[in-house]
Amino acid sequence: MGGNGTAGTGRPLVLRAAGRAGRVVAGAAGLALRAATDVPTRLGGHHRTPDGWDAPPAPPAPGGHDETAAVVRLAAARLGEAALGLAAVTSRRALDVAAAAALPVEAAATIAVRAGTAVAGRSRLAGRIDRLARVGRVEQRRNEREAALLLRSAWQRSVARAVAATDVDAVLDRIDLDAVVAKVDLDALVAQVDLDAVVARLDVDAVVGRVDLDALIARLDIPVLVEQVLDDVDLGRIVRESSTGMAAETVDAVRSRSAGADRAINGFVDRVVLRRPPRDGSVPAPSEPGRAPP
Amino acid sequence: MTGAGLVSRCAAALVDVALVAAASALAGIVLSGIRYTVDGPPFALPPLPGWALGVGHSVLVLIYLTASWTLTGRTPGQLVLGLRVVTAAARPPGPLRALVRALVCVVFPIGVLWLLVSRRTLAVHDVVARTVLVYDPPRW
Repeated sequence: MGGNGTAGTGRPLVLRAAGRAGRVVAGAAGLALRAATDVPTRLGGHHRTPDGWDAPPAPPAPGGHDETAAVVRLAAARLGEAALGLAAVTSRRALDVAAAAALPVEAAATIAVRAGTAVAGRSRLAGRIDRLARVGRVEQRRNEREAALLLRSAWQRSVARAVAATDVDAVLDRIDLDAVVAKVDLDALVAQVDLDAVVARLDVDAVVGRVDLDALIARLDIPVLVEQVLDDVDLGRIVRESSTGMAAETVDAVRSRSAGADRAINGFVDRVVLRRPPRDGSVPAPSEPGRAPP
Repeated sequence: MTGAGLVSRCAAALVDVALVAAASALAGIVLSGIRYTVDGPPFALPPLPGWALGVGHSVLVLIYLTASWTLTGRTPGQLVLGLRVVTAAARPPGPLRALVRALVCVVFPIGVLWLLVSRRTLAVHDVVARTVLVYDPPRW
């Protein structure tokens, strides 16, 4: 059956579709015919034509009632196939004719459309057509949206049904999670996380409020802690330094007081008893109490 | 070079006397304790005659003063009061000079009053030993 022109590329799309439809119809009719006539093709064993199709049945052997019936069936089958061949040839011819006729028809249609377009561009018809096209476009968008919504919801429902029907545990049991985790680059993942934002969303007070501080303190060994702190502080050194500081201040005070008393007595003796000018060093500088000038 | 006044010297002397007295009392108690341990009760201080006590303390003070001035240029009392004994060369006295000064101090302690009339505020032992008792420069 190869070699006919119904599937040729030289014809218009419509004619090609028509040819294919005709071929399908013919094939279906052939199948029905073969089923009805029950041609004993298998009798021929594995005998096939060079192009792979079953070879036509061998001529029946003469003689017998059964042979008559077989001859009748074979004749009917041969007639049916001849009818199919006729139909095929007829359709090929018709398609050829239609293709020959379609060429001028197509040219005429093209001319008509172009002329109509030109005429519409001149008149107000173009505006109306544009408006109508806009309306149609908008309507079509809406239709598409609704269709998409419907499709999506249907898809979701079906997926949900499928998931509900799936034994997730069994699926999970079959998945090697360790291998999956090994493939994940956690560092890169963490680097993408904005930790500051996460922290900002944390309610620290609530977290602290949930902590049992008493239990925490009970677990701490406070005496040992205090001993360690005291060992580090070196209390003895602090006491030594402060006490020596106090002693030094006391001694300084005693020295300055006694030196002042010395000057007072010397001055009294010089001025009141001996009535002479004050001796050297009896009036030292106020900023240096008790220091004798050289 | 002007010497220290009467109050400072007396305060330093008080500290020194207290120290020597404490050392003497401690020595007496220790000796009595030894005697008490050996001979038994009663516990009593050593029965020294008055002159022996006086001579002993005088020698003790003499040794104390000489050693202090020779070694550090000041007694512990003078250390507390911020005083020190220096010669004309502004150095601590030698052993001989210290011994002379200590002798005069012990024999003639009233000579300290001479600083009231001395124009350089020198006591008698300062004049004899040719030393001066001066104030330490302040620490600050």
